[in-house]
Amino acid sequence: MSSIAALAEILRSNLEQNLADPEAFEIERELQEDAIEPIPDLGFPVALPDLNPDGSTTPKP
Amino acid sequence: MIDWREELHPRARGRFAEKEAARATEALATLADVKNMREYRERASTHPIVREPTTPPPAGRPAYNPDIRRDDNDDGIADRSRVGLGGRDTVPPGEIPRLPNLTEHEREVESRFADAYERDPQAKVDAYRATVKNNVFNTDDAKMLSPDYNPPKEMGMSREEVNDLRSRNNVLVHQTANAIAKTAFLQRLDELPPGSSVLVTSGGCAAGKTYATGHIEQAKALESLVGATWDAAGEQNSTENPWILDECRARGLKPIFSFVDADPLARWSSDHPHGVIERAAGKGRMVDARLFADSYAEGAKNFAAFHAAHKDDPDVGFILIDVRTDPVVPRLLESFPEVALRTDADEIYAQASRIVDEKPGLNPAIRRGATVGRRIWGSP
Repeated sequence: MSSIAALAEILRSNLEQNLADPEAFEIERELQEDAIEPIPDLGFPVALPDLNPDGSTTPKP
Repeated sequence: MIDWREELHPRARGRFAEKEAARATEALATLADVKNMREYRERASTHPIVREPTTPPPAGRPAYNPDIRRDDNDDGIADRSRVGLGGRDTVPPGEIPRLPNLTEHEREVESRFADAYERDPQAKVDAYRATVKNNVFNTDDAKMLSPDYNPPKEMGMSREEVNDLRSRNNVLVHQTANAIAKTAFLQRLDELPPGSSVLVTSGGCAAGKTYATGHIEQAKALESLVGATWDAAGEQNSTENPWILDECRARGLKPIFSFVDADPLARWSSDHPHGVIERAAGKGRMVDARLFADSYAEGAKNFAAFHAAHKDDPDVGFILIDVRTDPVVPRLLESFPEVALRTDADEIYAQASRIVDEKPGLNPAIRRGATVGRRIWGSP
């Protein structure tokens, strides 16, 4: 387990860097997440239904 | 077909906000003359979210509401947390646990993801594995497979609309996402040659676990040292560690368990740049206050028991990191931080809930994500 010390230092320094600049971390995470598409076969619509003024919705064909 | 009731249509953010604001105002009014936490707890149980009508799980499926301190094998580590699978469980075979006390709409969201997984688990695991970077496995990442959490791009939702969905639906897709990530992680372990190292990160919600594994370049450095990383969800309360140890030993792998110790209230506060509320404002995924509190109090107790039992095992490594200082200067620890064991889950739950109740301008989806546990598991 000689790599534990090296691993510990990587975790500690990553934490230090990302806590100091969380914005940069979150932007990169967001880019990664944006590249992921949800599973398509769950019965979720691909288009939002129209929202009527009274709060009801009209499904798109 | 989805019925976008209760102002849940993404373009009805204004209506949703109005309704939530009315609930928040009602809740705040009941707290006007509260003098102490005992009085706060009494009033918190009257929050309007508690009165919302609920829909049971599908027929024949009991609601999953385990005792989170139950420890059948007496190893000092609880068997289950309130969400996700049991610490030692994977599916298949089996079924995705269904939460208690969900509204009809919430039940729909839960069922859509869970039913799809149960119909064809491996397809969902394959879809998740195609998204995994640097062999870091993570329940939150698997939530991206749910359209209720990560709507299709063709729908054209704005970042704010997507964040609202994530804050509202986070807990509803957690069970299935945990099942997907655990199964995918096991399949990765099957691919590793004996002797490989496996990293596990534990700690409370938003303690900094994911910051520790780092973004892509930092994670590449990790990947050169470990064959796989399990970036545990704080909500699992460190209940998965015995399972991971057993699975690693069965394959001749060498697990290294890390624990990030943070101050829970600093991590909850919206005034803290790394806090849960702040994070949700930027990217959604609001954590419920009940689960947040458990993740620090129960998670620390479970990890401490695991650490005490295995710290001298030659095939197991531990890394303990303290991030409690203000300003934060992460430092490695030689022993498990006793301060973490003094965290009281019910006290943190009450304090975190009160912060949300007394913050009138909070984003309504974040407020809902933070307080939905009062209906699901009970008030502070």
